[in-house]
Amino acid sequence: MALTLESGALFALLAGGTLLLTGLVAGGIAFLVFNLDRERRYVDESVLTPAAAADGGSVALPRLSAVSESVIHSGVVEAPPSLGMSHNKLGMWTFLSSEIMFFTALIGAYVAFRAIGDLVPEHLNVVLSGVGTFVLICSSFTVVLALDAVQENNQQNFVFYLLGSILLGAAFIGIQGYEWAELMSHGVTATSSLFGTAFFVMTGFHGLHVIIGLVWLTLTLLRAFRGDFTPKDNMGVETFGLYWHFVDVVWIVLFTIIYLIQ
Amino acid sequence: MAATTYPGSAVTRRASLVDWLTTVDHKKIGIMYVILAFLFFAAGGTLALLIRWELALPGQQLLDADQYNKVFSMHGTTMIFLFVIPMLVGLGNYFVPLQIGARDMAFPRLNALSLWMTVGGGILLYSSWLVPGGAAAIGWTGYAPLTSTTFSPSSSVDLWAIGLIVLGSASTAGAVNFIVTTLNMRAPGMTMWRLPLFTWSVLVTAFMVLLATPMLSGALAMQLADRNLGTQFFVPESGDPVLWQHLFWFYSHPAVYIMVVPAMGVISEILPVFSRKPIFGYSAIVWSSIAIGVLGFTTWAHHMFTTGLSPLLESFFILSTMIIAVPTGVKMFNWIFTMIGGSLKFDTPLLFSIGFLSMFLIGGLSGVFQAVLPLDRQLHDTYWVVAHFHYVIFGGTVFGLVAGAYYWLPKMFGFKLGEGLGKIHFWLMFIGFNLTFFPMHILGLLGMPRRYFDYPAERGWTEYNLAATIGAFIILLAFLVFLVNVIMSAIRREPAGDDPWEGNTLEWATTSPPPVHNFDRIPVVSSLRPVRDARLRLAGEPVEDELH
Repeated sequence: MALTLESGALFALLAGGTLLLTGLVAGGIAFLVFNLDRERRYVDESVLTPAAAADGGSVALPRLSAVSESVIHSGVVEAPPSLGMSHNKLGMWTFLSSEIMFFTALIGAYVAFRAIGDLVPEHLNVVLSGVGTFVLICSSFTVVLALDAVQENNQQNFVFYLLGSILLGAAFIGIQGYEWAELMSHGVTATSSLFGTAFFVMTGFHGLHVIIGLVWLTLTLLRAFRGDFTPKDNMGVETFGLYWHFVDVVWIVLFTIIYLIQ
Repeated sequence: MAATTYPGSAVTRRASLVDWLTTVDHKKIGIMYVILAFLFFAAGGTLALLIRWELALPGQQLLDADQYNKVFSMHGTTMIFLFVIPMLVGLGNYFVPLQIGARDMAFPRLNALSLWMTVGGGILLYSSWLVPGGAAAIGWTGYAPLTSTTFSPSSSVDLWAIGLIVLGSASTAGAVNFIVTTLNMRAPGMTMWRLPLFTWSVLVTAFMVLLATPMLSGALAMQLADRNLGTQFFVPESGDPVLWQHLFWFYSHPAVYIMVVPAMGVISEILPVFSRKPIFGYSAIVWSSIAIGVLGFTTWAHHMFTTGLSPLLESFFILSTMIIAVPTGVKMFNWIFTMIGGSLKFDTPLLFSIGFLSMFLIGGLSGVFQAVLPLDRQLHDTYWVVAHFHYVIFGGTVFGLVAGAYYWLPKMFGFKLGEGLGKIHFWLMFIGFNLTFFPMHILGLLGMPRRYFDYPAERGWTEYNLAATIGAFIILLAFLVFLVNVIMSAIRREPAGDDPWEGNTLEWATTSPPPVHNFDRIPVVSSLRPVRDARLRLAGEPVEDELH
């Protein structure tokens, strides 16, 4: 016997219903059985302090077995980072290696399309983009100078170079916007050809990274005004620098494969 | 003995619902990942039962072709992205900081963000049922040009792609967190060569996630641009649909190892504890994990042998696929020799571990068969492949995960799970699993293609399909037994104590469940098995340090 379900709505009901039902059952278990309360379950009356007992027994101290006790006994209160490096810095390096793979997918598509033989349009403005590249490299340099300034506690130069980096980054975005508009006015768009497809998506994602960087940079500047960064504590600037240099390097690769190798 | 209070010992209070929703504690986040994973396991499992119900007999049973396409597509996507991976992340979240003697993950707030992004990604994926045209019917592989607006006009494909990008970003953020935690937050004396094998496996997996997932995100971004902005990446007339396959499998083949390596880590923790022996060849297991992590990136195009590759590439991918079986084989020997000569305690975790070994062996070997190109051309897209990857992912990973659940739930919730029901769960799952998936090998050899919603009666496929359907419902029964076991054990609440299994690693040197700060003092480690050594020292027995 064939029992046919009529529509997708019934499926939504089925899948959603299962999910909801299981959710309710699991939620019920969590509330009633586990009591959403993993800490209190092993209250041993003997370790309750009088104050805690008066509080209805909701306060307890953990009780360890003899083995656990002996492992913990020789321990230390806090452990330094195993690699002697801040979490933020290590985390940023790790994250950037992931970003490399993201751009590899986009660049891989572009290279594959070029291999198929898709033609590069003649309207690419190498000189203008060369200027843009120079501007972005300069902004990386000013970020280095900003970090250097804050490490020497020169707050005035620090703010100055941060501001300079913002202006240079914004100038790069402006140049990119002009280049996009120029290409579009010549009929090169994301839908016109394979080149357009890969070009606009690739440079678009890069531009997005620059804009995110600019937002981060502006927040850093506001924090700098507040005096958050000192010679001892400037990891926020250093981590941002890593990101910004990465975005810069990605652009150099893009500039090379789009504009220089035609 | 009386409890000693150290300075800074936490005075705890009841955790409210708001505490859970806003927590940055790796243990609470880990538990929420596990609950999330089981919810989606129930949803994906329901879809699997619908598939088996439809295929039980020739002719239409329950679903029409279009509904069937949606059901198997969402089954695959759910099980991979919303069950297996969140489950592994959950266990990793809970136990990596405990095993390395840390108080939390390196970035607790990022950790909470990953969890809630996973929830959001799951909601996005499942909301695709609600748009006109129903859920994405594109297989879990989403091949171009099937995903183009021409063939899949429904916006469910966009929801599918956006959901996967969100899930991918969550696991990338999680990977950064795991890597920094493992490398930078080890307790004093915990060198890389004293790292517990589960933590090692999570570290290797995190690197694979870190480098593979962005490829999928990039490909999905291109797919979305094709569908919504009119770009031509995967358009057959002008673009390159095969590019999608390359990018997709560049992620999705490592994803197989992303799913199985942590389960291997779980097994490597359980076997020595229940054999009362040190692990056989600790460094061989570590190096083979690393080898799998690296080689996993070199085998992706073996999924594309029937797409058409140059003969040179074909030979390369045949070879790399065979080579990656070597480190896996090394592990097999390590695990078996860990058990040989040990005094085995056949508790539920060990039973499931042995289930993992035997089932994963079958899945691994049938994978090597498919590396042989002439054979692969015959087996590609038949039920043989379905049998193969279920032996790897279900027979391997899920058995490993359940073994981990029986091993670690006492630590997470403080009570023991019932052994009797646990053994019933194991045997039901073992029999049900084999009854479901072994006949699929034969179906594949008989030529039954995957992803078809129906088959003719005269092909002689009916008996095997019926057996598989019966097996699927036995698996359902097995998990119901598991659910009953958890509920009954929670009500019975038999205290587990700090260390119910006489374990080796640091998670057994704190209360069950551990306090928010894990350890009153950070332990100082001087060997591979600190808790076992402390136990021997306390009993006045000699501690021969045969390992590091």
